[in-house]
Amino acid sequence: MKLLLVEDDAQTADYIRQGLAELGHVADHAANGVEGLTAALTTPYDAIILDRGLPQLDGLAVLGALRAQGNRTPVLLLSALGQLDDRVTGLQAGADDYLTKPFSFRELVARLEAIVRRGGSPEKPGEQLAVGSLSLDRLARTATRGSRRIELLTKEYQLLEYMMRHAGQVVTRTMMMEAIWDYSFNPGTNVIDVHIGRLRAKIDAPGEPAMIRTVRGAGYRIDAV
Amino acid sequence: MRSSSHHPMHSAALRGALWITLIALLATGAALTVQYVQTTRLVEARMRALVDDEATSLVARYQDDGLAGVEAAIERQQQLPRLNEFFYLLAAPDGTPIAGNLLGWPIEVDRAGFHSFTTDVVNTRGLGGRRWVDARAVQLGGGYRLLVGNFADERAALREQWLRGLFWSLLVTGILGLALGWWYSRRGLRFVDDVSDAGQRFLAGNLDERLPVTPRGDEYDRLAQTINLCFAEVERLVGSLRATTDALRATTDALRATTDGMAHDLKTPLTRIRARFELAELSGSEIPAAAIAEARRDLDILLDRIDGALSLARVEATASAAFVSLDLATIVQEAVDLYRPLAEDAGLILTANLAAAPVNGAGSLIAQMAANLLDNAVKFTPVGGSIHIETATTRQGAILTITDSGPGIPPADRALVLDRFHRLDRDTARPGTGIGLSVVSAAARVHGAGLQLLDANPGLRVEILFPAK
Repeated sequence: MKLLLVEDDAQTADYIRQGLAELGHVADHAANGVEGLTAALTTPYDAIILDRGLPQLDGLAVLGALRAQGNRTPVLLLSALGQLDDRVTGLQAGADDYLTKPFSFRELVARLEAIVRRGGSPEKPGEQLAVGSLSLDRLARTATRGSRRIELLTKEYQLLEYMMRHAGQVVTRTMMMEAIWDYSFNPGTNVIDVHIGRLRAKIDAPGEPAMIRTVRGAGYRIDAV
Repeated sequence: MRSSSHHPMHSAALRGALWITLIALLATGAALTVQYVQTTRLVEARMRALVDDEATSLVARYQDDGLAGVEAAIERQQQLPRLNEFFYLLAAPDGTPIAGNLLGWPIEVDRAGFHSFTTDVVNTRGLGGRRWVDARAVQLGGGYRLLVGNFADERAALREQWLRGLFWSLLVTGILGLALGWWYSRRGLRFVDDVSDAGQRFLAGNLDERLPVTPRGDEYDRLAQTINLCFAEVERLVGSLRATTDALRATTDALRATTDGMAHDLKTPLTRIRARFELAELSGSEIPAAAIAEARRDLDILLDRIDGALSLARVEATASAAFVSLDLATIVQEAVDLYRPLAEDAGLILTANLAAAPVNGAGSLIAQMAANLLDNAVKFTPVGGSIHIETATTRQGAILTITDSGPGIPPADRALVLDRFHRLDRDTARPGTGIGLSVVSAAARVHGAGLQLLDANPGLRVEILFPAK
């Protein structure tokens, strides 16, 4: 991914760029809002990482100007505040996702991949969603693996659908929590793991290869097998 | 400011009573007088008719039989005692009585016609006395005169009766008027007194002060209701002002406590990380991979704790202005869906009875509340136990209850666990930041909801009562 990082703190920016580079992504750096906006409007990027609190022109203003110019580049807002209202206002202003500092690089990259994918190939509103031999009937809200029909509870269905829409990408626990439960807080215990465990037991019959993989320190990924 | 006899208001009560009495007196006096005058007139007219009748019959006798006939008739009339007593006088032209029971021709009667006067009379029983009479004088032929009259005692009695009646009526009216007037004015003024007193107490800070409203529903009651509404509105405003001040103070306290609590909680992992790196530096070797992994674990703990503190601060900073209409049942259902697999894996039976329970609130806070309560219950209830969560609407408001069969919390520790970062000694071996219940408590406070930690015998029962919408 070719990324633009708009972040005023030089040290933080360096760490983020190094971390992204370790994971195989290149990021240009802009140190303030004006620079960031100029770069975003002149160079095509896969995604923009935009800090909310910036000198000269703050993150939301940059985002507003960008969207006003018709630029649809996916934007991930970074915030040190992490209040629910900030999240809501950020998403309303046109951000594609929102992440609170401090965060792990894996969380950042997972979210970036999710929004880049979404931006690149818009959601197909089809009735069928398939990953390998696993397919999801969105009308009947059931899953089928090969010829085996799988009954799912509401939340299991929603989890599986979310993972399948991001097949091949890492999905973090907080992403799932936000997408399925709309919880922007950390409920402490890793409840998501238990749900994934149940889901695994349902989609992988004995003898079948596992489809959902645990990505250490990040989350889960569903792959075609 | 209690009522006393020196109260200046009471002169107003007296004034009111006097006015009412005066009006009653005038009305009674006028009524009695009119009645008296009318009765007198009636009696007088009847009397005149009787006298005229008698006089006419005597004149007829005179015309038939002359003087002697009249004289004889008078003599005869005087002999028989009658209910309606007349008196007569037949006098010669010089005024000498010829027949009759008057001692002489009264000087008041100087011509023919009707006269009212007092004179000396001898009645049929020969008793004399000065009587008030109504009489008709008739001129007979040859200078002879005839006087026929009736005693007007009835009218005197009537007047006497009127005067006595007037006196007693006025006396009774006066007393009753004063008493009732006093009572009635006092009622109004007692109301004014009550309002002043209640107002004074209200001003003195007794904000739940209200005026009594009687079931009569009269003007006083309407005024009392209006004043009560004003009191209630002021109380509400003062309440919200107080809540704001309290919230500010709580925030300040929270900040201080957070700082203190965080300082301790953050120092421990930081000290460990630093020690590991220092050790590596001293030994002059590369930092071993194990030390890095441990340092990262410590950092995760640090981040968790900071996250917890931030989320608590976020809960506390939530303004009730952002509240929307929500159903507790829907929010709790989501949390139950999240925790059910966890509870089942822990060998617990999780049951829910979620009836619609509308509240005004912040959805994310209530969700966090429900999630934290379930998290705690799952964490502390031993295998084979049960957790029951319930929402309902009661008369007091919407209620959220969660009961578990775990060890419960000793009454003495209940206040402590609501403090941030507090963990009971027995729990320190378990994972967690100890922030769960403090977030619940803060979220309840923000919603103006009452939080109670109760004994489920055995286990813990948490009740959160949201104010009625």
